Amino acid sequence: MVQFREIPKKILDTVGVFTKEQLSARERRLASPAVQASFERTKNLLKDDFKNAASSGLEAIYRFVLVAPTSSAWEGTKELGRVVAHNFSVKKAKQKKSYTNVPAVMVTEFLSQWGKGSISTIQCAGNLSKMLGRSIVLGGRYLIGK
Amino acid sequence: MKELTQEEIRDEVLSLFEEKETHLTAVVSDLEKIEEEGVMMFEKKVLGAKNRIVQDQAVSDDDLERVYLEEVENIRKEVLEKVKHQIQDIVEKNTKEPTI
Repeated sequence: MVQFREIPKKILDTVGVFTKEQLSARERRLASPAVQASFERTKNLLKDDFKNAASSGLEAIYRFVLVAPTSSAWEGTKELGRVVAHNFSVKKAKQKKSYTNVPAVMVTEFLSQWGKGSISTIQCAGNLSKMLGRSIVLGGRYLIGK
Repeated sequence: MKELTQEEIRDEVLSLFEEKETHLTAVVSDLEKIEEEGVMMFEKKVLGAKNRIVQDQAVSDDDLERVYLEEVENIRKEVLEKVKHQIQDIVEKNTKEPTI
């Protein structure tokens, strides 16, 4: 059996340098733009999957907590719910997300469906819808801070 | 049945939301945290796999990219499953009827 001390240091060093270069070359191959792009695509796909799974979970919890009824419009209200909850959770006005990207109709639907499901005294969701259609009361209220 | 003014309706709806705000905010915060941790877990596992594959002599240079990307895909599936379970746990915890 060959003992290390019998191998000249120069050869050991040369092998060490060669191995290091080979490893670096392999690392560079995995850092190529094409491989990186593929990795990023997979990561973004994962993020989308997370968002979808979280949204479905959030929807189930919102339905339960707010006693929201089944509605096709509910789909859109999930995003509104996220914005509302986010704005509740931050104190600085600058960190609050804008409601401008949320259509007024979504706010209307959110509140009217909610009202129908959980506030028995509210029988005039239509009036509420009209009112909210003119100004996004909820959004305005939380944008300026409570 | 009592007739409500629009102002009263608005206040009542908002107060209902406010009543639940702590709960809903906490849920959203938990979900966002799980999402962020999932991404970090994915990146960490991919980095570990990359180092392992680079040093693995059984993986030839020609197979390097293929093996690495296959591993990335496997890690994606694995992390997604874990995160889905965590989300499901939160949903179950927050949709249980209170027992008396």
